[in-house]
Amino acid sequence: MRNFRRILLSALVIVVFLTAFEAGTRFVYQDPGNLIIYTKNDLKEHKGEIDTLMLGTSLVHWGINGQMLGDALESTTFNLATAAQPLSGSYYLLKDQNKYNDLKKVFLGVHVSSLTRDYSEGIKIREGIFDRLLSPMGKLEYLYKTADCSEYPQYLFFLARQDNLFEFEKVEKYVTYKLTDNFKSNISPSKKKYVYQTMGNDNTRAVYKGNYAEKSLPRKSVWNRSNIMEGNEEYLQMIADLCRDNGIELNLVIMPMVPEITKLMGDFDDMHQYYQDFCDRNNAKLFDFNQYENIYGILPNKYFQDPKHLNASGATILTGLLTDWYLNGI
Amino acid sequence: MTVNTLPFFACLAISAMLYYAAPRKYRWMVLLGVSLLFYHWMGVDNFLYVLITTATLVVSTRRMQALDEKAAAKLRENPEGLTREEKKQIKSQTKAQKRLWLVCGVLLTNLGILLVLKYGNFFIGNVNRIFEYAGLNTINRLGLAAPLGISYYTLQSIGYALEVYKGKTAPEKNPFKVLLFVTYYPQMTQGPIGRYPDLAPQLFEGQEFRYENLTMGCQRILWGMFKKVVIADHMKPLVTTIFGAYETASGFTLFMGCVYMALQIYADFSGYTDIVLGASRIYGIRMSENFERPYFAKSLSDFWRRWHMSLSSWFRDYVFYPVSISHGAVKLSKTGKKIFSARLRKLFPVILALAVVWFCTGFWHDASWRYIFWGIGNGGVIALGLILQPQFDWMKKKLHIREDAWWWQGFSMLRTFLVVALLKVFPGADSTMQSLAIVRQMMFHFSPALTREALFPGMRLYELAYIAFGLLLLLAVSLLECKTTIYEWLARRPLVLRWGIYLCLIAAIIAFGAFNSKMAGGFEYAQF
Repeated sequence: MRNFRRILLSALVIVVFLTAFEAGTRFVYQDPGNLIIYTKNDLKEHKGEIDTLMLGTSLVHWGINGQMLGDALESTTFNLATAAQPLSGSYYLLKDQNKYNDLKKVFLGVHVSSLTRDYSEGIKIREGIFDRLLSPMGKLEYLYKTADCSEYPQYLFFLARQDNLFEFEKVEKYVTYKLTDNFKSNISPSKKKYVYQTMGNDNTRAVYKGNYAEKSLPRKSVWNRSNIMEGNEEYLQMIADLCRDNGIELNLVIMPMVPEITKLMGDFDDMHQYYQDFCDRNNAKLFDFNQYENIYGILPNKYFQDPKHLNASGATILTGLLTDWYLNGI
Repeated sequence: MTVNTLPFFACLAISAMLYYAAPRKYRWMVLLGVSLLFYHWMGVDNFLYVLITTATLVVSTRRMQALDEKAAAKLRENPEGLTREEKKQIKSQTKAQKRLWLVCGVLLTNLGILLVLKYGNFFIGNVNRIFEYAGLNTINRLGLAAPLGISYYTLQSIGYALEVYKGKTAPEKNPFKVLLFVTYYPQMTQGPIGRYPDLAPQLFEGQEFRYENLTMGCQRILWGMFKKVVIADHMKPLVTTIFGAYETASGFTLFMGCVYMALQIYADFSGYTDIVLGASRIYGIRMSENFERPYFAKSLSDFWRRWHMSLSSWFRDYVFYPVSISHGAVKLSKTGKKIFSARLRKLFPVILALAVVWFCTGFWHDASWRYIFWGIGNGGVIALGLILQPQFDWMKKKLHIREDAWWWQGFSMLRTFLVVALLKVFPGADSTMQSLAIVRQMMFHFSPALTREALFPGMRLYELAYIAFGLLLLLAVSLLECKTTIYEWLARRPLVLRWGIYLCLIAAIIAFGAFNSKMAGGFEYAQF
């Protein structure tokens, strides 16, 4: 019994130390401009209120103004789309949020890479999703299902992700801001180009100047059914099943890009057909902006921040189009 | 799941609880259950080979014992009626039959499996080269995968059979206990290669819980993790970058690559060993040590007494000694009387045994010519040291060098380290041709430069800081361990200081560790 108490006490000391160490280093090293901080705070604050969720990659994250969409649909919309979000990530985020909220609608951004990209190498991407999961069990499940066991410490300990341990100027800047009232009120430090950073939404006023479309095309970003990865396809189906089982309306959105890059990405008609078939099978709706009439006329390059992502003005226009399409049809 | 991952530690914690909760006589079953589960989790499908090894061990060792008992009974039945010759005949007959069981039942089967699975494609590749040269059709490569740890458990099993053959240990009758000896999970993938008389009783007898074992085990695991994730895993990219750019890198950078690899492999393998020994200690099982500050060795043979000790001692006991006293070796010492001096002729059996041992050691590591060259290199340096010993002694006497002088000891250590590091040119490269190209580059295009790019290509400053911190701590601990083990030293410190050190080590592992290395088997030596 004495040994048992000693072991328990030792374990407790270690757990307390690890928790404090993780929290302390996160406080010192996490950039206060990082959207994850505000997203998590907003998610916690609006527990039980969210009824519409936006999921998907950065195309949706930047391209749809969740607040505007929410106002138009008279819903509380949260933007949980993240950079290069794999469909596995979308699935676990949806499952996690469904525990806390009575979800009614999901807008899931899909594109070429959603099905063709291998996400096993993108640890930073997967970490971002892990951080946005609220329930401990959800985190554990996500860890077990998507991470290699050698990566667990990388997910669990914030400090294990840092390579700027000795950049003390940054540390001073971060800590100084985190001690301000602004930070305590969940306000991100102002950045010139950035606008609105609430409910998972943020965007920029930057304008695409052209000329680097080819460089920004990642590998396997050309639509070809033979490039589809089985795992990604399975998760897409799991999302549909989860929505069906919980009475959530599933909407797939294919976001537009600048024409210079679109023409490099393969047969978009076939991609449309693939997703349309999926939607038909799963009672979901598809909003494919590549099929939207005169989309390049409505959203010329000045509404993009780079070849793929809309800027704040572009997002406002596209959200208007989506709302209109959703409510009234084309 | 490898031994440096969180699931392993979770598995260790749960299994240790189950182990101590079970009645003492059933505790070995818990270990067997966990070992089999671990083998399954490692993703190893070839469990059949492990079962074959176990079956051959059980059958052969039992037969050997039965033969011994039969011979003893014969001798007992009629102690006066048998002549000395008859007694001798019975003994030699028994020995021959036992040898048959040893060779056919254990050695041929298990080494056969090892040869086919691990070396099959190496042989086919070499034969195909000859066939291609002769314009003949080539043979298809085998599509068989060797189970992880096969090189280790095969040697461990053979060691057990040899002990039974020599009559030094009685065979285990329970096949499941033999299976546990073969598959004991912490050591399964990379050793240490356990000796049956030391390890088996500890595995089979349920150990009593002792708090000291738990703390010592945890400390050792912590230190092993530090060496692995802070030093080895940060040095790995540096070594890979240097050897990967062997065509363009200068000889000096490649030489530094060899030095880094020597340090990286030590941190990796000794880190693994610490984790394994620590995990075993939690169950109350003390496994044999595998390292004894090898880079403090003053000669290459001394180095090999301190490095991968379980393998070195295995080859020493089961290959070196038998070969050096074999008829062939003794005969060899009597040849060339007119050409060689008596001292040199006495060395012939030793040199022959060294040649065999080092060929086998090289080949054991990997089925490739570069590892054979590496083995020959090691054996060659050791043999040369033996042959030239009188000349070295004469030179030291002439130069008034005292063996115990601090500077001579330091020089000897540095010399040994450099030899070890330079020989890493073979394992460091991806192919034999690449190794030779690196040797050429080091010999003819050395071009030393003290720039960061030449010394640490591709490394960022913070990574270098982590490595430097890790290596300095490793050096400090190694120096401390000249007098006492770090664990005993820690045990004598006040509680607050001790816990401060533990927590700092945990913090260092988390803050400076490299965690997402997806090495097969998790460790460098797992590939062997």
